[in-house]
Amino acid sequence: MLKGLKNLFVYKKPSEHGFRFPEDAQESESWNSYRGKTSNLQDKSESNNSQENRKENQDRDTERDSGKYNSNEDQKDKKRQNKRDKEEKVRIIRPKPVYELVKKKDSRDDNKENQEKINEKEDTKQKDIKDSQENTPESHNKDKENPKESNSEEESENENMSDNQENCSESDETQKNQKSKGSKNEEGEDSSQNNSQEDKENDIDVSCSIEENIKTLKDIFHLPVNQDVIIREFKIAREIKACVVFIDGMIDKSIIIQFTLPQLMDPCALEGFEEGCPIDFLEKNILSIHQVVRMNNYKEIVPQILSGLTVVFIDGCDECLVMESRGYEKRDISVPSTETVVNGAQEGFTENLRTNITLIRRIVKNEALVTEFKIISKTNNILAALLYMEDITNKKVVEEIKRRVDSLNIDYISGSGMLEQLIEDKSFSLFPQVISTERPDRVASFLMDGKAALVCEGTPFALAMPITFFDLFHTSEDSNLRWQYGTFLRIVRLIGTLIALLLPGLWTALILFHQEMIPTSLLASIVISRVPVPFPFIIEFILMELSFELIREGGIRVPGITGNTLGIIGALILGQSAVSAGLVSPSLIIIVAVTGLGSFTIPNYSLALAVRIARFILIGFGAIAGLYGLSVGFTIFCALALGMKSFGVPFFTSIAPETKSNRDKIVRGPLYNQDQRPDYLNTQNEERMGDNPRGWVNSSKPGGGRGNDQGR
Amino acid sequence: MIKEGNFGYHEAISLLVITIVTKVFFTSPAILVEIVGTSGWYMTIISMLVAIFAFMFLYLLLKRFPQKNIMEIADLVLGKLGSTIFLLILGGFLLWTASVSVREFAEVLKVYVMPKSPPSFIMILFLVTIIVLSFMGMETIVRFAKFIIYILGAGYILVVLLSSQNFAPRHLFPLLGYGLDTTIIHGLLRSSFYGDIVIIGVIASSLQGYKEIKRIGFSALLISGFLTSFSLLVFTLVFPYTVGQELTSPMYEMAARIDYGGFMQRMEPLFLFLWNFGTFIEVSFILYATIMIYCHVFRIEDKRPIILPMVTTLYSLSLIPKSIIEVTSGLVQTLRSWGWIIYYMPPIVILIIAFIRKKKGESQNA
Amino acid sequence: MRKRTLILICLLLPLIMTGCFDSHEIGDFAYVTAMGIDQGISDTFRLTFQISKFSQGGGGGGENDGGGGEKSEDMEVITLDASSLLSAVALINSNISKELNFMHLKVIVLSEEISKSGKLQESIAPIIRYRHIRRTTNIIVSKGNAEEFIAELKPYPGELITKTLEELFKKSSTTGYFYHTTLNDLYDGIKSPYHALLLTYGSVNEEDKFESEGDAFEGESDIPGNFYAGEIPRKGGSKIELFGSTVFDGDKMVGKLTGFETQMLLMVRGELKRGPFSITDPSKPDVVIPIDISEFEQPEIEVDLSEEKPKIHVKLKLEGDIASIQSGIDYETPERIPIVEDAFEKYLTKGIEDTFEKCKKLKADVFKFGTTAVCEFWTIPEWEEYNWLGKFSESELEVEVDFTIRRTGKLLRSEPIYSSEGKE
Repeated sequence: MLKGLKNLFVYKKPSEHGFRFPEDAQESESWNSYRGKTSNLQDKSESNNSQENRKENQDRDTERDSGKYNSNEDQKDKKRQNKRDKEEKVRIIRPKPVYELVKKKDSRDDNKENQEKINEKEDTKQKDIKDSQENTPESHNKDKENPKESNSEEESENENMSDNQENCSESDETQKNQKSKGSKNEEGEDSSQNNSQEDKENDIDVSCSIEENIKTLKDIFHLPVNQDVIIREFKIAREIKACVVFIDGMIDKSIIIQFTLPQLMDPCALEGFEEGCPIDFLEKNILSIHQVVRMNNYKEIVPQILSGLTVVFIDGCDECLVMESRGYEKRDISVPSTETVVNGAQEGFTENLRTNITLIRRIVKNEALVTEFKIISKTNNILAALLYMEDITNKKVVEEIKRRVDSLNIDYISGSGMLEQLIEDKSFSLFPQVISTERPDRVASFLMDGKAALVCEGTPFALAMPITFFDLFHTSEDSNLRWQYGTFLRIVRLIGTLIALLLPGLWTALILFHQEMIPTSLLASIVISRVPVPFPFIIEFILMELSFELIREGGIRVPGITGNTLGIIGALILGQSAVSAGLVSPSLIIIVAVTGLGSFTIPNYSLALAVRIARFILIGFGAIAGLYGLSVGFTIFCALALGMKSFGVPFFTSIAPETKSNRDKIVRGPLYNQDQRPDYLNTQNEERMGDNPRGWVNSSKPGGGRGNDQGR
Repeated sequence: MIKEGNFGYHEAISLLVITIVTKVFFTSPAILVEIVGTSGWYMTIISMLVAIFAFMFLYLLLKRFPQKNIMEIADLVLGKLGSTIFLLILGGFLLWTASVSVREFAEVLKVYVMPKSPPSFIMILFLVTIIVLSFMGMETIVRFAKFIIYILGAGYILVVLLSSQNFAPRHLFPLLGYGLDTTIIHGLLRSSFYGDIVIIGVIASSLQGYKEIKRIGFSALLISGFLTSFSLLVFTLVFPYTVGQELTSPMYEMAARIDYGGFMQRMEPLFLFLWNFGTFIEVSFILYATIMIYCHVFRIEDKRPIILPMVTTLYSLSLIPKSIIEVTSGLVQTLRSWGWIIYYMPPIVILIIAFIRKKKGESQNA
Repeated sequence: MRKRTLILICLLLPLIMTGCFDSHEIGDFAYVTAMGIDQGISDTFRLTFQISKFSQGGGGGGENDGGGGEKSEDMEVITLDASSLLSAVALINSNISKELNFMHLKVIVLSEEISKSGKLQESIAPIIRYRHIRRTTNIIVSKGNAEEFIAELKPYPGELITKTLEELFKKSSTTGYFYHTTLNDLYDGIKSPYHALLLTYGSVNEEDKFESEGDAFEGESDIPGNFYAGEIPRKGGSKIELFGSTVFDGDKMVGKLTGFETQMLLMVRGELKRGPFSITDPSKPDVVIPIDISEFEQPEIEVDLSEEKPKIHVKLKLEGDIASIQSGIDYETPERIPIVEDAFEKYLTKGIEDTFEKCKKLKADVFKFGTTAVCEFWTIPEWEEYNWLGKFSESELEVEVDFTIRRTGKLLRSEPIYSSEGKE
């Protein structure tokens, strides 16, 4: 709640989220515009903050934070103020000497609290360094505790650094701080609104001296120990000292070997250069790299290096050149393994964000497709992209997603799976509230429906939201096939889903409670088949269901390609021997197998898992009170599912609550009849088609096409 | 806090129709046959017309005070004390009807499906469901009604269609049953069958305006009138009046008689689900309406803490009757015959008072 | 949400602990497939239960049941005297390892003796109250003891007894020789003011009518099916026979109808879908013409109550095919077809009138004319006061049959037989 409020407060326009290096021309434009905008913003806010900060130089740690809060104070309500007070108290508890302790790393005599904190700090040091730089102002606000710690950490770190620094006269903490504040105020470009209060260790400007820069970099990257980062020192045209910094393995070497070093080291490189800092000259005339940007603050630079860009430092310039050079190993695009279709595109996402977005963009070739990037985890700096159609998607949905993503305050996110869990509405609900798909064409169709998609580094899945049950239930094949076939497949799938969910429960109820409801001949064969079975029915059933689950799970974990085969053969052999050993009745095996088959028809993995779990609960209900218990269980599940919302959209929207919709739930109508975007999304443009989507039919009667079309 | 939210035409109709029609699946048709013989199926149409007439007053009342529910209207018209008394009576009555439904359900279920389970077991399981539904709020109850009406509708149609093998049109004769006068009098009295329509007043502010209320109210009454009449017609076609009046749950027996040999027999499970889901919705809706009234009277914002005590009260109330006979021929009978006094009179009275104090009502309204 | 789950668990836990009151293992039951009710000797009733074990052959299960042996069903018959069904069940349950279960009861057999004694109300009607016993259970009145009847109730080889019984009762609508009745019909019949009760008549065929030696048959054939159950001259097969029907007045059996009479009855009731008939050849009385009735229209029945005695008018419309012409006479011309048609119409008219007279004597409206008569009344009191079932014995019947031959089978014409003596 509080977090949310905070976020709302600081939230600014999406275009101000340019938190990363632009990767292509189109984006770099927007990136530039972002820079411009942030500068304005800063001017406004900075004026408040800086004054306070200066006053409170001495107690830096505490005051930074309080300064931040003060700046927003007038807007905040009392509750928040209280909370802040608490936080401050916590901070105040930490005595100043702690920083020294941290530095020395040896004194363990202090009270436990402090020690723990110290340890934490040590651990998170590196992360913090990287972290802070790319975060938006909003995200900083949300950092409640970690920033505090890292702040103290930074300082100690900075102190170390500043000792060695001569040029910029950052000889002690306070001075340095002031300086950074000052420089920000002057330039106003690099840092965003709240940097001044919250910022962490790397908030250092690029120095004019190359030695100092190298020293700083070495500190930041723990260089002698950490062997990944390479600092290549050289001289531009044999005159000016310079260095390139990059991380080995993350870059495309040819950029440096062919297009950077040869040009720069060419003795004639500085021909035509006159006076002043050569950086402008080099950028414009020498470096034949497609994307080069100047930066002057380590807070920005470091993440760029970490994500595989190359940075050129030049002696005498207080800016550096950041060049696009990403070129790490990645997996090729392959066939989606979890969502295979017969008829349709065969491309799946990969682990690479850039590739994934390209895959989507290749389907939605429209200027309205907006991609916003955002680093979502604090320490491992996972990048996520939010995609939506500017002219279709409901703005509120986009804002809500951004609000949730921005408010994340978490060290490590490995990919979309973790992100999904962090942004869903109800984590206790059994059913998924965000759809995760491996198929770019599905994402594209979601986008065109007016949904928003989140693509995340690290997993070949994209998330789309808000969703309803029917999104989980449909596949991309449904709309690729003619509507008769699509409908048929969906009906089969619906039957499969219902079987997977209800059949075990129904069977339990019938066998244990309602023998009168089983047709006599069926009853006879069940009775006969159960004669040799020593277990009570319910134990037999759960045993069998469990072993089926074991086979499924085991089949996945078995190494190599034998996995699937083993699953099937295992099931066959197990079933056969269980029957011949007289442990299980054959009729039950059929039920378990049909249930398993049914659950395989569910296209969405999360939904299938939910159904598999719900199945066991329903067996329980069936065993307590038969069909009555089953209806109780079913009602409870329904109530929970119906009360559930995905980004404000009830799970069973368009059935309950009823909304205007195309015939595209279970039965799919002809394609040209689906002329509406989903009503529940409140899209900006509800019409998906023209009045007469098939111009060649009925062209004389504009508008009346719908009904008449069907006959033809 | 649970927000009531808004719900539309289809949802509200599903909810009201299920709430009203579910009762026909239990013991009341048998008693109806006992009273009016073969004419039950059109008697209920008379009841429906009376209910529509009574609903007109409620509608006029709600129209007079748009966007207000009956509790707020009562506050405005009757004054604080008057409205408190009125609302407590209404709420208590609703709770009592819910308790009768619960008990009737438990008894019938025990007779037909779970003879060895104690009624308290059946009831507790029932109430757990009601608690979950109520906790999720009115919106969920309404959505559940909308969601489940497809299943209920399909089950109902299937049962009726399959029963057609047992139809004997001559069972409808003599057409007038025990005489037209009996039919009409009981038709008038039994309008209480449709009495649940007044709950529309409680949820009025969740519906979109009085025009919508009019549409919902009349459609719900017409549809449930049709369904009730049709159910009674089908049941009269299957069982002659001499047998029909003996049955505990005629509709269930009707489903049990379906026999197409081999596999197409023993269709009661279908009907069991009609019972269960229908009653879940009916009781949770009435209970939630009671909770809304209660919370309004005592100015309670958050409804959730009230749910558990209210359900406990419901449970105790439903345990009071001694036997199924007391429930079916005592309570249900009284409820159906005299319930209209509490269902339909108050809106009329309030409307009259509002007319008399005309200025007050208008000014508040404007 | 967590709180909600907690509450849920707290509420559900006791249920799980205490639940399962009605839960039973499917093998814990002894499924009764047939039940017989006789006049008791040491107590009011003698009840016979046929319990099917559903097991095939040697039992023991597994997969080694192939071995060529017939799938004969293991059945157990228990007979005991008791005052009511419930006490009988309790007595048996205390002596066998399983619990008697009537959910799959297929047939209830009443002995003729107990039916005639008017003990239906005491013996069978109350069992409809039992939850287990379904209204669709079939009812048979057996000629001899129900006990003997049930002992002979054996499945068709390779089938379950229940399947055999189900199939057996279906035959009613194709031959019309017996009337298929269920418990619901019984209950409906004894309580109905519209009509009297008619039940299936069955018997054990002792094969005593089958004469293995004797003189060759001469003279006119009897009307086919004009005898009662247990009298069919046959040998082999199941000893059980369902043929004809029994007529009740209230809950007391007053008479029985032969297979032919049952056919006539069902025809008037409109419940016969199709059926084989054979009439004596109008020109050659020693041979018959089998006629296959393929379509019955619903009979038009009118009841006139204006006079003291109710007047009933029945109009039947039938269509049929000639199955064969034993005499070889060429009836297939437009001139001669009416001869067969007329003969058949008379045959039916007489059959129906005779059956009607018989029922009139028995004072039982098994024809369901009451359901037509009731349309003349407006209210239930009027109708009940009129007492149709009483008035039925005074009623008069007028029958009109309209029969049309549509097809003549695979032959369009009959050519005479040629022998050494020339054309016959």
